[in-house]
Amino acid sequence: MRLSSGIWVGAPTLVVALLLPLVLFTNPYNRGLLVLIVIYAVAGLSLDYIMGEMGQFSFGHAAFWGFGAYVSAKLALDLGVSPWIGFVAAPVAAGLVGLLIGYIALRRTRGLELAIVTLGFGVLAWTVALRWRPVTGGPSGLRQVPPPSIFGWEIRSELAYYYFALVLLLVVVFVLSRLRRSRFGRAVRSIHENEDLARSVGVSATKYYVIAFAFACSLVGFSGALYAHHFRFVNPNLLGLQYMFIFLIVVLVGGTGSLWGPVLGALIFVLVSEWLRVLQEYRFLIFGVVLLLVVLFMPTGVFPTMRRVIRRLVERRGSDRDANAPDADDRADRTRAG
Amino acid sequence: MALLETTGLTRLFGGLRAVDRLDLRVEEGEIMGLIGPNGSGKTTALNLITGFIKPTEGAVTYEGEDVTGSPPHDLAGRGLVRTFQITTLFENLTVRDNVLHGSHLDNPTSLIGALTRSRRHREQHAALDARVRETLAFVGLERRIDAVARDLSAGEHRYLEIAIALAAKPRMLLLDEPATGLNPEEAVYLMNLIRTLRRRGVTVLLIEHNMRLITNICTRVTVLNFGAKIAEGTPEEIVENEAVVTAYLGKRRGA
Ligand SMILES: Nc1ncnc2c1ncn2[C@@H]1O[C@H](COP(=O)(O)OP(=O)(O)OP(=O)(O)O)[C@@H](O)[C@H]1O
Ligand SMILES: [Mg+2]
Repeated sequence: MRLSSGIWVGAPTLVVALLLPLVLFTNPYNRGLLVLIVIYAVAGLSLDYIMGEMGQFSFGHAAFWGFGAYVSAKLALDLGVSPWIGFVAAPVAAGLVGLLIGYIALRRTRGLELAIVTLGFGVLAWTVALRWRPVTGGPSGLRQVPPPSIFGWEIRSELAYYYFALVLLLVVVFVLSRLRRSRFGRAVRSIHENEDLARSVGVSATKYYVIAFAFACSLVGFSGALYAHHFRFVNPNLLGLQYMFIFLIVVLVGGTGSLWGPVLGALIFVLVSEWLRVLQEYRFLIFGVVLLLVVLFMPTGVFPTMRRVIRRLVERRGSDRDANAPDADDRADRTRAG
Repeated sequence: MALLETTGLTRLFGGLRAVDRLDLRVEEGEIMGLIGPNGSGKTTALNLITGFIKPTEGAVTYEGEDVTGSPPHDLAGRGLVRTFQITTLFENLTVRDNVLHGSHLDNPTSLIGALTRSRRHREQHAALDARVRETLAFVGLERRIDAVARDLSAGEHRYLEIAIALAAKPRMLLLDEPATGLNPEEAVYLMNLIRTLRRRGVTVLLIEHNMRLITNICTRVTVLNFGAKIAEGTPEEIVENEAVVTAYLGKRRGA
């Protein structure tokens, strides 16, 4: 059931994703947008891990993203370390910091405390990136970050990097989907659903939440490294509110609690943002309003709301068939969303 | 040696002595009833024993070891599992997932196994799934396995709660008013369920207002009033105890 429906959605989507740069996005600039979509999708998936799976919020998610970017860039520039090692070191470093932040914020309370502590971390990280010139390059950041290479061939072109990042996105989606049904994933979910009950059946709530948070930080750190080695620069903006805002839009437009949501959200965000380019900074005014409307009228996200509306229309038409027997997965989705 | 013992267990809420120097002994294999008027400290005592709140004074001993102040998940890991007075479930999940989430301690699968779906993992998971079905069959919910928990009836909620607790493989089960919301027929089913558990070697501490249930299945009963123990004995002794009768008729201390 689940597998086949996954294939029916997944296979055509993949084909489209593979064909996009060959058909619609044919110039380097547009292909760069595709890379951005993939990178934002990974960041959105990791933020949704915190929001959808844990029911928490982090204001420091962009800071972890930028941190990952700086770590990988710095290693490559100063130590001449291969970007491949950076792709591992960035998530490890972001994960370790996440462990520390999570431990401070999640020991006793839920919700507000994590939001506040991560906000503090975000401001701190941004200030350090801006001021600690000898290491971070100050306001202008670091340039000439090298691209990764395979068998002596640099993944430099937008096309190559897109395919490369797409593979990694698929790996991330795959891991996340399996993680959900693992013992770890179930423990995290049970804490989100009902923490007292989870504790009563032996789940160490604090331990699992700290690890889950660190995992999400590590994932976004990885996304940051992907950014650094493609766009080949890092600067303090990456740690700032603008990207935090972008990741939040990606999650909320796509809808929390699903794996396709953030991917779709990233796609919509990048494309719409591109159409609104003439407006420059005023774009964010529009995004702000859109975000407000989404939160007010589609609290489960645009994608899930659309899906529900469509399903309701379909059900109304075919009501004499099986409208009253939605399958269990579907109902679980819907109740969770509600 | 008692399986569970509290000595001088006390909990203050401000000036209120919610639990007052409680000495409780539960032997292995017993069904110990814990009764008392509303607000007499039964739930607080259970919270203290299972580590959900910390005592102001006194100690809890389990399996001969001092476990005072241990967190709930550690105690659950040692077989001390509770249910809640207010129905507490993973409401948004299916009945199966409720019990699967409750099986945290009984889930042998590894992370690597889950990611690779190794053969070993699939076998372990199939066995776990079979145990989940067994537990659901035991409480009579196997036909509701794919229903979302919040759609169940009040009675089914109670059974599912017990199924979740059983998934944690308790050696001692502490039930906080499990018969609330059950009709007489369902209460009898619950009674038989608890009896069967006892036969399977589970020790039970049962908080209940339903006196029929208490007198029918408890081996011994402890009575609380204003946080303190006012009587202890077999159900027959308790119903004839003058202090107990007075407490239930609502006479105030010193009145
Ligand atoms: N967290 C708390 N803060 C303050 N007072 C509390 C708290 N929990 C319980 N109490 C008080 O402690 C006393 C004992 O409450 P408890 O819930 O243990 O009683 P109970 O015997 O379980 O009652 P019931 O039969 O109504 O469930 C009551 O007076 C209650 O108001
Ligand atoms: Mg109570």
